[in-house]
Amino acid sequence: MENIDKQFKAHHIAKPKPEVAKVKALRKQQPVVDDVSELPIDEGYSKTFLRVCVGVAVFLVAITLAGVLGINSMFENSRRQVVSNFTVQVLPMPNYEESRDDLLNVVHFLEKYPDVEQVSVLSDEDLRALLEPWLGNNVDVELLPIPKLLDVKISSGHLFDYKELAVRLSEVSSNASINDHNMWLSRLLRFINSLKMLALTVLILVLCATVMSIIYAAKTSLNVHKDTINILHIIGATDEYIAINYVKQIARVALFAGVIGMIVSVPAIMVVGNMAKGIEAGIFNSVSFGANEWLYILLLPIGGMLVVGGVAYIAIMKALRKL
Amino acid sequence: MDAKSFEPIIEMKNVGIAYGDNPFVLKNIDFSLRRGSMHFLTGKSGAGKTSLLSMMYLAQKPTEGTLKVFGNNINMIDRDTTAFLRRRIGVVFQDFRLLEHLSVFDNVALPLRLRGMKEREIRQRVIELLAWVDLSNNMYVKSSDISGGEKQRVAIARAVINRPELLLADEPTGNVDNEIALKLMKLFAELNRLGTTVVIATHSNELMDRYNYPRLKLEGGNISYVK
Repeated sequence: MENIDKQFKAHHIAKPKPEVAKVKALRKQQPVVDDVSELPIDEGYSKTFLRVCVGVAVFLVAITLAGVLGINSMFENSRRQVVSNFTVQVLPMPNYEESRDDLLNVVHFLEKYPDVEQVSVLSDEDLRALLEPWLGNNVDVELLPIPKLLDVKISSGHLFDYKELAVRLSEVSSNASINDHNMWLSRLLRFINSLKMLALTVLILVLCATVMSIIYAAKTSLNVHKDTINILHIIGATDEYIAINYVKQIARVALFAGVIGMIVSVPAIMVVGNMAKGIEAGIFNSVSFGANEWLYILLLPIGGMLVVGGVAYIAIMKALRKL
Repeated sequence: MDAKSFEPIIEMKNVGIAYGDNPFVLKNIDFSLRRGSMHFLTGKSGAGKTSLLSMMYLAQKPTEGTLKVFGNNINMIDRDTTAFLRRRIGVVFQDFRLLEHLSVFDNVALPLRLRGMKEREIRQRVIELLAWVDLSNNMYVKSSDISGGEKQRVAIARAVINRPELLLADEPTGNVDNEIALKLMKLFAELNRLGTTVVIATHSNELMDRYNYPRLKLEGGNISYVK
């Protein structure tokens, strides 16, 4: 539209003409009412409901995610440790020289075996330390008929064939055998996978509950503001304009609630993390919760906001088409 | 002048409208509105004035017949096209239909914001128009807190800020005193002079007698021209 003031002025409408200075002064004047949206979310029940839903959802997701990440790190640490090392035990023979030769044969064989990086025989001190809880600290391990233990390091990143090694090792020495950790490692993996599935189920349930809550809140809001939406449509608002207008507000509410939920979850995660570290049960004390894991937790409010915004947009667009 | 200038702004052929299973409110409506014309739409209460207007501003689709707005058959257009056509139409409702939680300024600015106009330009235009309709002092007041006459002026400012090609006013003088009614009629006449097609629905014979514009009369569900 052309400058309507000038047009009407030109056509002598019987109306007081706005003075230029007055209009200029008005342009500098600042709004005295709050910057509110055309389609406001109610300041009462709807907003509180949404805040609580999103806050609780982010808290639950943060706790569950922290659990999964912690277990994952524990398993990875254990796996790395176990997969890159295995133990070979060589039973003693009646004769000392025969035992020594047998041990040397096994060591030489292992040192030349593909993917083996290092073979070290556990020293008497190491053996004494291992036996100390049962036999005390004055044990002469040379007098005991205990097997010699070899710590074998293999290069990581390779799928090591323990079965083949066992077969070939038995050809070198009938007294040598491998302590295969894969059995209990696979059981641990199964257990951890079960925990992950459980956590995933919790996440899906939380997500479903949140999505349903958002859809409910969005539809309720649309019903409350039916007249406003009708006016916006008549003036020429597209469904997308209305949906984006609503989503902007709901996303702000979700981000705020998500940050609160995340903040509340942090001390809970730290307490549980410290408790896990305090267990000190062999490989189970290798839980590590690093910067990456914390970053995932810190990003949850943004993730929550995107989910809420996306779901609200789809729900509103669908509902508007039915109006 | 191109061919479009001669194209009727509204064209109805055998249009009828009924709500649910109820009898037709309007039946076999045949008429067209020439671009740049100005008409009164008259008829008794319940004659179908509001229904006819609501079809013209695309809030209702006809139950039967063909309705073309700006040359577009409204049964053939999608929701977005409908929205874009509505931006070319200004509507003044008898009950104002302002967004009461927004300020006077924001209500008037709404059609410009829908068009994606820059805030600086919006501010300039709205302030000028509000000064013109004597609402400068209430610019940032919530529209729920102003009088009926002021609401009427806000509604009119919102309808004309976009310089619509078609202005539809439903009983625009019903809630205002004579002095304001006269001012409003002068405003409509001036907009019409500037090229806007105007339709004013009213049952006020006094108003129609005062201004010599052609009348569209609704009676028994049909429409007729009265000079």
